[in-house]
Formats: sequence, C-alpha cells, structure tokens
Amino acid sequence: MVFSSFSFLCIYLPIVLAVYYILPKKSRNLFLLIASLVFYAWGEPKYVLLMMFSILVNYSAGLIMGGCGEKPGRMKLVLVLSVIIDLGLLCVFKYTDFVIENLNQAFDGGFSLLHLALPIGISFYTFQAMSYTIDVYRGDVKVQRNLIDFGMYITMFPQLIAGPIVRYSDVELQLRDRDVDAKSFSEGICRFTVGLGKKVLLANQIGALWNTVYAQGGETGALMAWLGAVAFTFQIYFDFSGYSDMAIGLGRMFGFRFPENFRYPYESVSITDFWRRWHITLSTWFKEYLYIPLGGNRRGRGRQIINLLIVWTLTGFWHGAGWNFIMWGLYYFVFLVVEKLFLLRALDKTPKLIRHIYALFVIVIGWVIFACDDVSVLLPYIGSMFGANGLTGGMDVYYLGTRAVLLVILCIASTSLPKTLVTAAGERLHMSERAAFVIKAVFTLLLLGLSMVFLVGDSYNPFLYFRF
Amino acid sequence: MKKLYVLFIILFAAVIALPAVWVFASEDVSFSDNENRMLQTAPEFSGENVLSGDFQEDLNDWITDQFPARDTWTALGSRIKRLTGMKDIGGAFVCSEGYYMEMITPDSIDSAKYLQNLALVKSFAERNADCDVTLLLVPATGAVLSDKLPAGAETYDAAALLDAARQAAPELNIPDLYTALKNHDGEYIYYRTDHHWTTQGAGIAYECLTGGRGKYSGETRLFSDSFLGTTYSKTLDSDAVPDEVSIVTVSESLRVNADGKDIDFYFAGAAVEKDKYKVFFGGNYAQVTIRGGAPNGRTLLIVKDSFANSLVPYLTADYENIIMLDLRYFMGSVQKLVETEEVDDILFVNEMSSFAKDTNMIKLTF
Repeated sequence: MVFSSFSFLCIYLPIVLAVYYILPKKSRNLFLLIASLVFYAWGEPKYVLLMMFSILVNYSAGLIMGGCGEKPGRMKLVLVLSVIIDLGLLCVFKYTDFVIENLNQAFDGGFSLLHLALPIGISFYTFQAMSYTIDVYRGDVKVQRNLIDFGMYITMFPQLIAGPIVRYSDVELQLRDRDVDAKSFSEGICRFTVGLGKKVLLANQIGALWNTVYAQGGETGALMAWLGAVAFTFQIYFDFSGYSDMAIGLGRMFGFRFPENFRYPYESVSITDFWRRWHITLSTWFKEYLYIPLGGNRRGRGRQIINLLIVWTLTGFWHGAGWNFIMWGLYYFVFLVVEKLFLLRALDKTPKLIRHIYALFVIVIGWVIFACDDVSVLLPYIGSMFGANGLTGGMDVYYLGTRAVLLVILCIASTSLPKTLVTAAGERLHMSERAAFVIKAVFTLLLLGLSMVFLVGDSYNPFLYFRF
Repeated sequence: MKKLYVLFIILFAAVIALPAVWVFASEDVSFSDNENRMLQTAPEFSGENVLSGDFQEDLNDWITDQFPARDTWTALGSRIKRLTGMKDIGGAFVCSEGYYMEMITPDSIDSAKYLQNLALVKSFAERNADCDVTLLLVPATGAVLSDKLPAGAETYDAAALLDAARQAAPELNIPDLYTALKNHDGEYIYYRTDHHWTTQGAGIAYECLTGGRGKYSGETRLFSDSFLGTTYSKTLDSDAVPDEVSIVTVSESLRVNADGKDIDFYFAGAAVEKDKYKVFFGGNYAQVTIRGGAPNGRTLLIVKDSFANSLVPYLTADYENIIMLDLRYFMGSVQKLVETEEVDDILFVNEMSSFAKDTNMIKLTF
C-alpha cells in the first residue's frame, strides 16, 4: 500500500488511528504490529512470511547474544550468522537475477532467471534489523526480550517501505514509552500532509516530463535533455523526501520521533555537503555499520580511499540491482575523494554561487546516471545534454513554456526559503501561537484537499522507491 | 489552545475518512460516461481474492472510481493545472479556438509497425487483384489544424507519413487526404471536443476518395448541438463549447444489420447519450452490413476504425451493399467474406496513429 492511495488515506489510516487510540496502552504495540503486517501484506501477502522469518532470526540472535555473557567468540559467531542470513535474504531476493544475467552475458550461459518479485521494503527493514543485532553485539543497546515490541520495530508501517531507516537505538525507549498529546499529533498531521503534497502535487506532476524525455532513448536536443534531467532531479527529491515526511508525520501521530532524512539537499555547496543532506539515515547507517568498522579514516589515506570505494559501491548497489546504480555510487565516490583530497579546500575560496552551481551540476548528472536503468541510453543521453544532437528540437520549447510555473514552484519548494519566510513573517507580525496555528491548520487542510483532488484526477500515481 | 488542536484533528479525520464512508454508504455507479469505461464497484471479499491481492487492488480502485463528486474534482484539478500554464491535460492538448486535441506526439508513432501494417494491406490487395483497393489514411485533428496547437506543441507529420506509405506501397491507391483536408482547414472539419472528424470533414474525405465522381447528393441536418466528446472528457474543462453533430440524409430503403441484429441507420437515442458520435450506427461492431443502397449491384468492403462511421452515409449513394469490418472485434476470415459477398471494392479507413499501432491487421491473412 502506498500512502498516496485512497485505500491507505481513506480506509486504513482512519481505522488504524481510531483503534490504536481506543485500545489501552499495553495492547497498542501488539495492535501496531498486526496493523503493520496487514499494511505489508496488502500488496504482497506471501512475503509477510519472509519478514516474520527475518524478525524471528534477529530477535533470537539478540536473545542468544544476551545469554552469551562472557563469551565474546560465541557472540561474534551469532552476530555473523544473523548478518549472513539478513544479507543472504536481501541478496537472493534482490540481486539473484542481476547476477545470473551478467554471468550469462559473460560466459554465454543459459541459466534461466528466477523472476522473483522484490519484497517491498526489504532493503529498508533488513538494514533496520541489522542495526539492532550489531548494536546488541557492541553493547550499545539492551537485548529486546519482548517479541511484540521487536516485531513492531521492524514492521512499523510508517517507515516500512521507504524509510527513513530508523536505527533501533533511535527508538529503543519509544518502543516502551511514548506519549502523544493533541499538539504533537497535530504536528504529525501537518508533516504528513506536506509530504503528501510533495508527492502528489509536485513529484507526480513533473515526473511525467522525465518519462516523456527518457522515452526518446536519449537522442534529443540539449534543452530537452536538460529539461528531462532537471525534471527527474525534482521528481526524485519530492517523491522521496515527501515519503520521508509522511513517514515522520505518521510516526508522530503514534508518538514516535523518527530521525530526519533530508535537509534541503539541493542547497548543497559541495558533494560532501550533499551527502550530509540527502537520505541522511542511509548515509549514517553505512557510516556506522560499514565505514567506521572498516577503519574509516584512522588507518591512513590509502586505506580510507579503499574504505570509501567499498562504501560507495555498496551504497550504489543498495539502490537497485543494476549497473547504473553501481556507476552512480562510484561516480559519487570519485567526487567525494577528489573533494577530500583538495577540491574542498579550493572550493572554500570560491564564491558561494559557484559552489552551488558545481554541486548542482554534479548532482543533476548523477541523477541521469541513476535514472537510466537502460545503461545503453546513458551515454547518448549525456551526449545530448552537451549538444550531440543540437541545442533544441522537438517539443522542448513547449515543455519549457508549459512547465515554467511548475519549475519555479519546484525550485522554491526545494529550498529552505518558504520556511524562512514563514518564520520571519511570524516574528515580524508578532503572531500569537494561536493565530500561527490557525493559519498552519487552514493551510494544511487546503493542501490535503488539493492533494486529494489531484489524486482523484490523476490515475498516474506510481511510486519510485518501490524498487529498493 | 488544546481545543483548537482537537478540532484540527477532527477536521483532518473527517476529510480523510468521509469519502470512504460515503462510498460505503451510497449506491455504486457502474459506468463513467466521461471516461467511457466501467467503474470499479464494491469488491467481493474472499480468502482467495485477498491472497491474490485482487481484493486490495479493487478496494483502492473502488474508492478512487466511486469517490464523491469525482468529476468535479477532476475538473478542478485540470483547471489548476491550466492555471499553472499546462496545456496538455490527461493526454489532450488544450488548443486555441476551443479545440481539445488528442496528444499524439511525433515520437509516439511506431514507424516499424506502420510499415508492417502497410505490408499486410499490400499483400491483401495483391491477393484480391480484381478488387479496387484503397487505403484511406486519416490525419488526426492536430495534424491538419496544426495552427491551433499550443505554441511549440507538435503532433505527427501527416504529409510525411503519407509519403512514407506511398513509397512503401506504390501500387496501393492511397489518396492524399491530408492535402484535401488542409485545403479546408478554416472550416468546421473536426470536432472541437472529440477526436473524430465532423460530418463535413467526412464529406471532404468522400470527395477526395471518389475524385469528385461520387453520386451522393443529399442534405445535411443538425442532429445535436450539445456534443462534448472524448478529448473534452480528458480535461473536463467547464469552458468547453459543445460541438454540433450533423447527419446527412440517406435513402429510406437502407437496411442495416449489426452483428446479426437489425438496427437503424442513424441511432436517434444518441441525442440523449453522452457520446453523440454514436448517432452513426450506435457505436462500433465486428461487422455491419448495409443493404439497399444505390441499385447498381456493387459491393464495398470497409475495414475501418470509427472514423469511417460518419463517412459511410455518403458511400451508400455509390454502392448497393456495404460491409464494414472492425478488426478489433471481427473474428472471421476477411478473405472468405470477400469471396462469398462478391466484393467489388475494398476500402481501408484508419486514422494514421491508430494504423501505426493496430495489432489486428494480421487478421487479414486469416
């Protein structure tokens, strides 16, 4: 089920919220677990079993490690086993066909593909489960003895299918004890609605333009190619950050505080900066559970670069079983290393505008690599962006003209400007808390209504991050 | 302050939950005139349906399709899109002079498929060398009235597609309908709110097809002045000006049979239906047979899409029998039909982009 569907918005969410708050506190976690399993089973009933298996494995691993006491060797063995099972499932379901395809190509083999449907959210919940077992091993969190609480942590429907990747340590205490008052519930509603609006009113609207351009197989004039690339740049940001907003808002309604996932990434002044602002919970995960254990930057430059290479290859690959994703990861590896070596220092001396332009340029080209899942389109497409097929042609002027207002809205909405303006206006007008809330509430309800209007009108409502 | 928060929460809950309550409580609508499709009605709950995921999918479609005041919201949505400068909405271009045209971009034409279908028609013509075979390729509204398209918008190049067809099949008779229509582009030859041509446009096609030697000489009369067609339905724009549907008089002696059922030549009931283009035979059938036309013993076979429906009235003046086949639905052997009906002439009528994606031409070989 996606959040921007009527079965979620009009049926599932009202029922789950109502029942959750009618129930006494002690049965709420069990209810949330069941509700989350229903949510998960909505699209793919069979894979609920896979997720339950994953829950049992990691829960047991935690229990066993907790009982190991003074035997670090055994603890390590249990951790390694659980990680192998977690990653094994992820690899089997996500990467098998990719490996077979490439083996077939390399050795002219005829292995048939498995055509396994990708279990929704497996990349997210696997990482969440691992954050638990690894932290138990490290002694950073206590063993969770309550299967219901643990199961609820893994399955929590708000972030189940598209993040943010909530580490166990982020919510350990909230699993037992969380409180919601009308105020924070209202904040949750506002946050959720902003996310819904980003997805329905912005991402969906501009997304069609990328599809149109991409369908031309990369052979277009430069203007059209850039329009497509910029369209995708906005689509993926508003789609993904919208989804994170919805998750955080929903979490709020149930009393959770999830970590932030985006901080105006298109305001970045370098690629290093970009990765501190884009999909923050994923970068943090890789840093905590891969980069630092590998030695991070403590074992010399050479080793650091190798560590970065490993991290960024896997970050790319995590996004999908395709060469374009690996290339995308490596692309960022190159920029991050170059920035670490000297570019960042050089950039510090240049005007901020130049730094913005540099970062955005790299980011937009990066999205083209990311979006061209047909790798054969990639080079022609980038060629087109630099004029290989002339500057203009086809309907580029039409699309630019008819999407100009939308593009301006997208530009403004992707910056912190709206928030800054609202805050400034509030201060300037000495608005009371009450007046400010009324304005916010009216805006939220209008946004909700408008999003629903567009949901009714557009049957076009695919969700990008389902591949992960 | 707390009361205010609670009020806000209640309003939020109402906005998201009431549509579902409304759908649950009210009678389902089973058909959408505007979209010309069946709507999802309440799904059946069963273990099997749930396990296959059908129930979940249908439930979502049900709320979406039965959403209270759905058309109003869709219209509002497209109004907002237009305010932001969008000129293609739901697959239709919003054009000048009140035209709404299907958005058929040049790159959506599958030229390989186009040539493939052309080859199928060609070899069909070769197998029926004693018949006069004509391929009437109809340009879509935007290809002829291109000056009304939004600035910078394009649709396919009908002249180029025509040339390509003539080059690939020089032995086929392919009239230059594009030029014929283009010469009249100041006239009311296409509907503003529907993708079809008007009866007047079809009349120009008749002229072009018969080279001015056609015997039709009837009168035109207004059938309806409140036609809002398919391209309007994509935008539901409240500013849209309804089209006029005219019909031309035909002989009283015509007998029409559609898929085994006798029907009227003109379907009067279309006046009260949404799709007034249905006045021509009431819609599309696998096979329509018209007998009792000009008493000259000649038989015409038309393999066609819906553009032919408004052209056929003219042709009844030149043929005693006309058989129309819609290959989407026709399952028999076209070849056998040519032989048993002793067909004299064969006419293909297809809009160019639909010809370029037609997957049924292969039935010509059956």
